[in-house]
Amino acid sequence: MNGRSLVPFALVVTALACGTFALHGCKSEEVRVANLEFREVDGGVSGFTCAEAKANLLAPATPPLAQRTMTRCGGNGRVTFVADLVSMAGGNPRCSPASIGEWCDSHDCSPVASSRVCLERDVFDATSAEAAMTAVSRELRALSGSIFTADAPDVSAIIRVVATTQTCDELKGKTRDPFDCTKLVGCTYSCPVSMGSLSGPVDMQLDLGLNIPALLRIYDQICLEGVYVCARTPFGTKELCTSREPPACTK
Amino acid sequence: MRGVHVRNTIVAATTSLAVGCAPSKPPVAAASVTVVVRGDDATAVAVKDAIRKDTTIPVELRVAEPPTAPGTDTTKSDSDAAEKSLAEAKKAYVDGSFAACMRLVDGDDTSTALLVDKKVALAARFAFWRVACRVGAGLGAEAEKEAARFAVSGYELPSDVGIASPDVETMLVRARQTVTAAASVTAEFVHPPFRGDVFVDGVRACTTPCSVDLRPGGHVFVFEAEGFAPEVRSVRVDKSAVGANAIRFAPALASPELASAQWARLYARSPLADGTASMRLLSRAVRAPRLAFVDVDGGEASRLRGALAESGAVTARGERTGTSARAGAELTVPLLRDLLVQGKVTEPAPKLWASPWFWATVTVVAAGVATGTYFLLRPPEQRTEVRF
Repeated sequence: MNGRSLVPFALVVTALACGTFALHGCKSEEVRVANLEFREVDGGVSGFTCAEAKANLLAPATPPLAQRTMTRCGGNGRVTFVADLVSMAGGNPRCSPASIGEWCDSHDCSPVASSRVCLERDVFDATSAEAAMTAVSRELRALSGSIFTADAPDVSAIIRVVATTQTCDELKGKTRDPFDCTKLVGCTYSCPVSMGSLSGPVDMQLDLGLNIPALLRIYDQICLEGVYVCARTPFGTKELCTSREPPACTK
Repeated sequence: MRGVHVRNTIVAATTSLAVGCAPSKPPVAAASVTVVVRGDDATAVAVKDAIRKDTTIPVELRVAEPPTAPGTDTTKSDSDAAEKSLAEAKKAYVDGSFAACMRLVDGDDTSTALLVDKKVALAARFAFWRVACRVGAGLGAEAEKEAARFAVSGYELPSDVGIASPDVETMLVRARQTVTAAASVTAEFVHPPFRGDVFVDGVRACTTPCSVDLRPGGHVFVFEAEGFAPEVRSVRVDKSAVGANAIRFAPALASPELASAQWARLYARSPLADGTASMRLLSRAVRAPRLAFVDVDGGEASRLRGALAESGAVTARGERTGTSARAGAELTVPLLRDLLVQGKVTEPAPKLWASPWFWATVTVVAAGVATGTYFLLRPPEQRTEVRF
């Protein structure tokens, strides 16, 4: 048996190896699916029911932020949902507003630019501020099933969905402070998660840390500032928005 | 200056590479080996076909037929001619034509030729009629001389003695008595290095080296050895010359035709056909300095025996046994390959690990296995899909 006679054997082995490779290539992908589950609160989706400002005796019922989606002269409004993966800058803080806020005040918790999804939706039948709030929540729920990201980067991050009246074109390319706080409609986010091992339902809410009943009295203010904190980019509690949108025109 | 140095270095490196890549030896013409196959017709034909069709053995294989006995017996015609001469001599004797009688039986050549052919009875009849014709012709002295030669040769009285005159028989008996009474003489026969048979006056006497006691007088010695032409000596053994009777034969090598005849007679059907003597004779017979002999036993289980001879000396022997009668042809080439390697005519197949192809194959296989293993064992690609 000389060496040349081994060549067919080698070719067969190589072909088998390539075949194995090809076969393995066909089944080599494992996809984990995570579904965002927007927590429901009284009146809509958590984070999308906050009111314009603190209620007081003069204005006992401030309109919800969702009214910003309504056109001043009537007709269907428009809302833009912006979903981001906000990196926790390598850290994995506890899932509480305070812990996340502290962490991100000292770290650069910026969105992963490649993961941003911007979706504009019409807000139908919003004849009142409450109706607008309901419509915004409805449009958010209507996104169920559509893909936010097909291949999330393997980072520790929170998933955040911001609703604003800014258009996608206005937001395009803005990774730092893209949101005009006077145009925010709502915001919700998840606990910090490791995207590389994420699967199953992901709880989305605007956690305001209101587990002390006394704080409920100042709910509106906290809720509004919660939206500002949530929507701040980079994520954090510093330099929150203080401006106010003029009252919406009601027809 | 630096450029020239670089150029020279490149030229030297290129030359070294070229020399290294070139064959280290000039091409050598393939060795030639003659193959003789012995066996029954069908098996032998299949074996010969296998040899002719083979392209794997790196020597030129030439198939030769095993020698067969000559078709015509030349000694038969010589005997017929001798019988005819004797018949005519007998007739001439009866007719009283003694001169013609002598002319027909005289001459040593015919007698010697008959003795070489071991036709002792015919030679004795020639000797007898030489005596009888001379007795008839009244040549007493010559008749006595021929009678003495007859007696020295030790011939028996032929049946023709009844036709001739009783004087002839009387003379021959007297001559025998005289010769028998004389002291015998020892003749020594030597033929180094091969042994051979010595025939004295047509009768086998001994095998060299040997000595024979002979009656003093003229004798015809014939020396026969395998691979040599018969050597004939007509010698007068004389008791007076002590030591002069040592006879050293120096026969000529047999011609291929004679060697063929000898092999056919001695070994064509002999189980010793692959022996040293047979191979030496066969080499000469088929004019092959390098000879392979394959003996095919096409029984229920084929058995092939082979021998390889280089210049007549056996350098390799081998045997292969198959499981069926048809396996003979398949066994032939492996047997020949064994013989040629064993006889150092061809190099043995290089060790597998010595071949660059082996290592190339091992490398490819190892790479293939490593690749396959990696892809088999590696964790699958994972991605996380997030949906609203």
